[in-house]
Amino acid sequence: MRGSGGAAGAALMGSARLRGLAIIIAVMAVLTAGWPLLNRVVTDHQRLAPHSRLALGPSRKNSAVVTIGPGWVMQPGESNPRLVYVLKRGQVKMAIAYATLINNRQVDNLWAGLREVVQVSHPGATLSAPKPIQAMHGSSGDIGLVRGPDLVGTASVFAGPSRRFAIEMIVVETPGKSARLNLLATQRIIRSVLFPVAHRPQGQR
Amino acid sequence: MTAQILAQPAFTPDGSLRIVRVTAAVLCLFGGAVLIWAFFQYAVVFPGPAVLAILLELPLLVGGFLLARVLRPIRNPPMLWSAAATVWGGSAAIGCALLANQGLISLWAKTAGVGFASNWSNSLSAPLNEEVLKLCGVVMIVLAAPGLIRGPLDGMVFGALAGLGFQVVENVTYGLDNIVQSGATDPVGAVTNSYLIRLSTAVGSHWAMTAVAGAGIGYLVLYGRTRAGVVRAVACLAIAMGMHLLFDAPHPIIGIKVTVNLVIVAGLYLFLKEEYLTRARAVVEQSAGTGLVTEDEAARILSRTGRQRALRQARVTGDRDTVQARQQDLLHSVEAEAA
Repeated sequence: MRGSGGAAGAALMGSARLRGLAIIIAVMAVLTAGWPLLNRVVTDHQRLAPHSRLALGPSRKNSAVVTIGPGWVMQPGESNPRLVYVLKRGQVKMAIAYATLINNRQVDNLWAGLREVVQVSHPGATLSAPKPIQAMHGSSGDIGLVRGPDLVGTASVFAGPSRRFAIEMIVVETPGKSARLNLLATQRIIRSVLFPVAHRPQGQR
Repeated sequence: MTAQILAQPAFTPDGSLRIVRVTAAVLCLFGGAVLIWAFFQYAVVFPGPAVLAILLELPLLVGGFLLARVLRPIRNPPMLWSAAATVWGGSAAIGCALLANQGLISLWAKTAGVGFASNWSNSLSAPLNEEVLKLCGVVMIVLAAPGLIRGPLDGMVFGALAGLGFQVVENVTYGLDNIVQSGATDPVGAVTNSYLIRLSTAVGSHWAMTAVAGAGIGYLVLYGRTRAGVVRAVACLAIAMGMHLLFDAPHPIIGIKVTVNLVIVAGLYLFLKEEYLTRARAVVEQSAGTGLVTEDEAARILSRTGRQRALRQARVTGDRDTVQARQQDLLHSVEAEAA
């Protein structure tokens, strides 16, 4: 009798332990798979009106503004106005990122750094040598070609007036018929970059 | 291994223990794989800074591990299970949290707007996902090592260890992220900067939050699924989530956040430690009163140095093993009562 009672108690303990384990696995699965699945159900496309202006950066002093042309959508799930905007237009994907520089001497390393950032975000892709580019509002930057196994695009960088931050734009697309048209659309955004601190309206300090 | 597990009836204590332990190991491997998948390219492009990011965290890992174990009064928790809790935090918990946070943070941005999400999505997502996932490690210890967590103080120590593992690995990932967020213009500087910032907030970070939540699991073990156990467990988890929310919130300044978290965890620890030691002293006094424990043993049994001194003396007389076995027996019964 005693032996069978002990065995029953042990079996009960064993089943309670497995019930506990099942609860843990269920909780972990709900969090780990549930949020991403729910996230996939909700659309990640926010249509942007032509000529929308997007401010990027942690403060007005350390920020830039870009103007978006027609046909672009923002992916809010991947965007954060302090750090990055991810935009799409057809097959083109454009990431506009804010980079905080550790000190103002790092401006000289921006292109070499951008080459490594491209390698991280697009494994196997390479970045060409830089060519100078001038934004419509006068800011100077560098631009180059990105080439990967199944993508082409551009990467550009503009240092902020304080030299303590920079705006980096990486555009990639799978090669196709619309490539030239999309390239023009991205050029328009790239050349629209404006640093509010460097362009204060008259009378404003 | 799988054949052995299947051959053993699951409902026997040994069979279910094996299943729990193997499942915990699989979840740790899964979390580790997620981390490698997410950060592999960083290690390829920035191998030196990636190694630096790991090396810089070793003192925190080793120092924190030793300190968390010493926090348990009377004697340290077993090394194996302490390491298991830390590994859980640094693999299963953080790997799963990476996926869960990506999903929830993205949902906030899609539903509440990117402006709101840039300020609040971290503080509204991480406390929910990360505190629960770290706490699962403490529950896993309860299931995998019966009798090890007997009360809130044990839960607190294992919670601190799980939180520490999470904190160390998260620091490494923050260092790697900071390389890209600084335009990869100075990868070593970015890793070092991130390390210094995280080090300055280390005392009020994950270890502290999960220590508080872990105390709740200890209460649940102590009181079972009674109202007292459940209310305390839920309250501890809610406080830990509150500490996390405060830590990630845009306001107030970080110094205040760290201080608040440190005061909460230190206050709870001192309260639980005092209660625990009072009960332990009472058990020893009672045993001494009935003659089960000598006065000399009673004076030394609750102190690590006291027990070591007794062992050193016993080595001279040649009965070290007997004294050590006696100490283990006494500690076992004292801890069972004190919890």
